Amino acid sequence: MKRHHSYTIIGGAISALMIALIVLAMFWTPYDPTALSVGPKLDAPSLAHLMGTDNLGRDIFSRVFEGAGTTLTIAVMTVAIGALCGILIGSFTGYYGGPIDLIFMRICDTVTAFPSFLLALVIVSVLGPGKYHVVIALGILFIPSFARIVRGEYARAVTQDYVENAKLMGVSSLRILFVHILPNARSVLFSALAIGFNNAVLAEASMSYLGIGVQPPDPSLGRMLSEAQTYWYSAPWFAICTGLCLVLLILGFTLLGEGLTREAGDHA
Amino acid sequence: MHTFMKKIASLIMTLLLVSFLAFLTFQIIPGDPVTKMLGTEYTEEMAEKLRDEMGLNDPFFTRYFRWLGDFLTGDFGTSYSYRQPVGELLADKLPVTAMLSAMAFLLVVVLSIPLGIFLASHDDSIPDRILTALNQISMSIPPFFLGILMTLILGQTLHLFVPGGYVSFREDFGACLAYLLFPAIAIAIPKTAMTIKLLKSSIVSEFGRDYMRTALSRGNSRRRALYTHVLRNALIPVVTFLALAIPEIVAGSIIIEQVFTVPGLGKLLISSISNRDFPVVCAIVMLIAVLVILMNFLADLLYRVIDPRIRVDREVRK
Amino acid sequence: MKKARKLLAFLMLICTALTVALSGCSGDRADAPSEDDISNTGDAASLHVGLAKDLDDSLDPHKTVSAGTEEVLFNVFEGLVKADPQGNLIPAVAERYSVSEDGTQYTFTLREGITFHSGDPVTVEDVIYSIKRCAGLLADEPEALVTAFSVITDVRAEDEKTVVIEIESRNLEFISYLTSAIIPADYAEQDTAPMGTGPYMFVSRSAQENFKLTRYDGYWGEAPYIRDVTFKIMSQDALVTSLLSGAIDLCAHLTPAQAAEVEEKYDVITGGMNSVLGVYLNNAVEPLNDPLVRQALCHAVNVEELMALVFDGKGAPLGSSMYPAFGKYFMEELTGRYPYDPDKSRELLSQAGYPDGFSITLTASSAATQYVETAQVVAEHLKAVGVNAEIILVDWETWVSDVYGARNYEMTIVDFDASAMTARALLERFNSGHAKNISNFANPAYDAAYLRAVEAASDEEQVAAYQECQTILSDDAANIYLMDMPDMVAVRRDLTGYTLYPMFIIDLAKLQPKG
Repeated sequence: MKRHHSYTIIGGAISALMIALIVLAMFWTPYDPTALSVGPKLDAPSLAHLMGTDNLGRDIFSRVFEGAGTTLTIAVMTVAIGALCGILIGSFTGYYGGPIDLIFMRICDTVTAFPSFLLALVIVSVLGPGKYHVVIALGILFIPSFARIVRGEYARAVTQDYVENAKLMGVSSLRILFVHILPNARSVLFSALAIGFNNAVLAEASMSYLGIGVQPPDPSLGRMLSEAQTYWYSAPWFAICTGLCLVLLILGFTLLGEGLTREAGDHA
Repeated sequence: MHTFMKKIASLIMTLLLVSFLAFLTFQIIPGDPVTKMLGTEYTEEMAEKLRDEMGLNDPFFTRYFRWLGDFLTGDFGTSYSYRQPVGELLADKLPVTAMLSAMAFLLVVVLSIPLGIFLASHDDSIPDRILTALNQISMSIPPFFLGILMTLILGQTLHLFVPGGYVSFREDFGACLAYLLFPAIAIAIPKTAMTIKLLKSSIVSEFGRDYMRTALSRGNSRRRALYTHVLRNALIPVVTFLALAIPEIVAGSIIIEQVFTVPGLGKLLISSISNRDFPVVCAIVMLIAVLVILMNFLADLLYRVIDPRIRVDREVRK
Repeated sequence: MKKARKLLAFLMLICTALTVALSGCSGDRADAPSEDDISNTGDAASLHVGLAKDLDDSLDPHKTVSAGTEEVLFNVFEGLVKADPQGNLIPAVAERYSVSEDGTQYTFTLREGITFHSGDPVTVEDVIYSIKRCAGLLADEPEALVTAFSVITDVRAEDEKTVVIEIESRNLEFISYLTSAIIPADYAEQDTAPMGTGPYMFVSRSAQENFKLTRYDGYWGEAPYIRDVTFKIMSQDALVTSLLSGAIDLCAHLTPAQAAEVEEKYDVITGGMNSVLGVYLNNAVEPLNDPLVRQALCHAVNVEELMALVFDGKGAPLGSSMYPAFGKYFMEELTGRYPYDPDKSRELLSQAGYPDGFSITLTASSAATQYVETAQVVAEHLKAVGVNAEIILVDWETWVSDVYGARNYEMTIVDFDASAMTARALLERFNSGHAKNISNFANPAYDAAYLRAVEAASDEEQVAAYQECQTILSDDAANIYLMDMPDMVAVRRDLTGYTLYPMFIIDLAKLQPKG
């Protein structure tokens, strides 16, 4: 019992710390994240620069948390798009089945069959680079996984007594869909959200690492990591601090999600 | 058999849709393959003439069906960049990605199944807690960051391998495998962690089922029960998960190849996209799509064969 | 107990896997840069060269378009003449040549005993074929592959060793273009398996993997020391790691920051990139059509800080479209034309009617780290005078088609090099009618001065006219000319003789063992 709580507590603490720093960075950072030469180039961590400086003399601490903020915003928006659309599509197709189900599931298969990187690149190429376009690209990529999970839950629910009863009592379909069934799908949705969020952070970082995500001068963890590789010998803190921040961001939410899911399982 | 045929039909439909989308993609994104071939000092007339020669001025559907027809007969076209048949180019790259993915997959299986069983049969012990915590952390490390760390620490600092020193499988198969082991580990670790978690919880929940309680109360040892009853049932979701993990492993190798300078499909795909080398991109996309769809299909079949509940659901709905 | 045995077996399995891996790797490490490496390969050494750009192009020397492919093919092909490290032309396939009094007739005598990599001797037919192919005089190649060759009126063989080329009128720069490769007339696979007369011959190319050359033992000149060369293709980010791990022995075009990371283990040679890095301005769009605005932007950019931050203080500032390696054409005095002066910049902007600055886009290709970093520095400098430059990163193909081809941009960062050692290559594009006038620059005085330069009868006249062109570009602030970037080459410690050229060339034939 206690173990479950420890995940929640540790995960919550990490997430809270990261979010606090990220929110702080939205209003105030020790230095302007894009300002050049605020310190010597590739300076080691010190009190003036907690994580040192990068190759253009910019403050890494300011950039890391500004970048983490961008990553977080993108992840939240991506998951929101994916989950909302996924719930809508999944609930209808799962509940009604038939040709609509077949068509939507084929479309989902198609989206999944496309290398995600290519799809993201296409969308970003058409819309032009920038973080909102990354959100749209990733959001679309995330719809099928949510839709699939929700669909499965609904397909199962359709055969269950409480839904049959509600139908017999003449409850409207919309009410059955979102008032009767949806709450029963929450534990599945809950872990899907946690996994989705982590995947979104990962996808954004990977895209930026490959150079098709967030554009400079806006800092981004993925891009900073790709730059930091060159300076491993003279400035290892550059790669380590940036990577650690990315790992903590994901770890916090993974632990929190895991802890909460376990607790929910215990109550059930 | 009827549902099987329907499955096959929808599979082909999906593939056609993918091929159409892949082809359409390059009509939308900016950049012109002709400018790449002519370089920076071209004139409009030269560009127009080359477009004509390459058939790029034909209507969209003419080009699509021509490409599809060629593709089905095994002619993948000629790379705009390398002026080489695409089939020839891919024959060089496909084995690299296949080996990398296969190694990563094997690592996942070889590591996760014994560890998962070990953790499940020692549920709540000290090693279980430590390993479970480690497991959680492994799931949180992005594979490309893991790749960077491995390059810098295992390669650069500990000299366990030579970063950037990939040797072609044609020259030295052993050395090639030894180099690929490291990117394979980077891909495998997060997936292994997920599989361990899944297997462990699956076994633990099987032990809690009624039939297990009966079996145990009849005097079967936990250990015997594990290998005779539990494992078979507990592996069902794991097998499905693993089947679905294969395409993800292939996709994951796209980025890892970049980190470890492995010249596989991923590196070629990325460079071909930015070069607007359509024939190469379309061929790789189709290759990956076929793989993903086949794996989904297999997983689906497997699931149906192993888990009767799915079949029941369907029949009731009809 | 049984459980423990199972666990043990499992651990053994992991250990075995690791052992296999490690033993395989220790074999690899023989490739690391050490003195053994050379003795391993017997009489001559092998070399791994890192390239951040794949040779994803036609390998036909007349059709290849990327500078990255050309610099490698320099080792495989030779023209009638070729460049030496000082930028002078020296005889190559031709043993000697002479020019007629009126400057319209060039007579070349072929080198005795020169052969292609197939072993076949180079004949006058091969030379005529090659020149005609470049000039667009062949039936199946009606397009002039080398634009400067469109002035050729006739190519003919005088005897078995002599070729005569006639051109329309005196053209002082024509000879520079005869560095174009001489290729066999009856060989159809130049596209994918190039064959020439150079010191190295083609072995194989593997896309995104490598490009292999080997020494040609029938070479007419001094035999190179290095026998086998493998160019390895990798990302910019992997170059430093690969040098430090010993996966590559030599790497050109490093940034100073990258070079600084490896200088403890490698000899680092510094030179100029030999190109004009600038913020190119679309002179046809608001507000850049106002010369005052363009001058204001020139004053706003702090080239010195750019150099210090991105290029470790190395490189040479430029004032116009010419770089120092061009010697007599280069005008040092223009570099001080627009000193860094934000106050002056703001004043000029107010005069132009933009007291509060304006917003604009700055497009750069993500193909080179230098562009991306320069864009970020320039954007910060412009921000300080109220000009809000939004950076748009595009890949190289999009840049070529949208910015360079369609001129659909406001400001862009790029560097232009000279494909042949002529001032013309750098100044031609700013003619008002030129098809690739990226800046949409239009000034009748410029066009007139350029025409005088091309038709000049004497060297002095030509230099003066080209200098006038540069002065006009500078006065009108056509673009923000930044600098000639430093070009750093890391070479394995036991090798010497790597030579930089005033052009984009990686010459491997001059490498020699130390001592």
